[in-house]
Amino acid sequence: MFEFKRYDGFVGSVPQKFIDSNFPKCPMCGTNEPYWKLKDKVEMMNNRTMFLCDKCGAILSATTADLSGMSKSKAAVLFTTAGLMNAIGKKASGKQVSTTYIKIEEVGNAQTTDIYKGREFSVDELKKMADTI
Amino acid sequence: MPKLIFLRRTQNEVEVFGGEVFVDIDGKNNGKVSFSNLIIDIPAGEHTIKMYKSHKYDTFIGFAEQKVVLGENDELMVRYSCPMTVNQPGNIDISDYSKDKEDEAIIKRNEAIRRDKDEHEKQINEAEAKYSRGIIAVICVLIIIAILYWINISLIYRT
Repeated sequence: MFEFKRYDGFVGSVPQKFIDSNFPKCPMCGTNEPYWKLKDKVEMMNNRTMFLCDKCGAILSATTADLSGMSKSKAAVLFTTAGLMNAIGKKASGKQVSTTYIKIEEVGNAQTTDIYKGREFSVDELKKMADTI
Repeated sequence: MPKLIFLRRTQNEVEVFGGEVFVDIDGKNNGKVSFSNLIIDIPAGEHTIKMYKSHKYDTFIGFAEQKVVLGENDELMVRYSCPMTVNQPGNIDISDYSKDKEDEAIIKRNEAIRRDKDEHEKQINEAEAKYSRGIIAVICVLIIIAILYWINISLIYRT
């Protein structure tokens, strides 16, 4: 996954459905047709999936563990490496383990400032932000 | 003669929002608001003030328009607030001018922007520090697992 693209088939359907269902409205530009495209990013702590809004170019990202639900299941935390690493990382960062966090990698062309760049929000907080636009 | 005093932009505001703020009166451009107040002498009567901000690729955003009626000796202070997104309008706030009000408005604006900017930077720095702590925690756990595994293997081969 080197370019941003949509995953409308079976492969990649989990993160694609996650972003399409949770963010039908882009929290950065407010469009109701963000047509999210996906790309993977490898990091030391977690692999992340990046989501690109087709309208404003904003990029959000979430960890693979959060997207696959490994952060929510105690069994996954105990018996999978990704779940365990995710839980340790979140605990050390002072975050709630069972909450999915979305990071704003790029604010896109619709924002007039960069104040949201690099910040992490829970899914609920970001949904509220999308509703205010 | 009546005056319109367009409140100057602050350094913090320019750092956060960028661009330039333009002033149109009665459909004609009358200059830009920069780091000093823009003072315009204008005949008494009804006028339309329009302000907007430059954005990327030579475009303009944040349009705000307001009608104002000026008496013979009126001095009005006009304050423009930039939008947060490109599809939002700007905001014009018009009030009677006094030096105290001007200073108060500038201080308040500076404080508000600086506070939000500092909070944003603090959150970024905290997130980075916590991320580093998280990495260290994960590495420590991996080292402990590796040591335990090595001890286990050693015990197996010893027996």
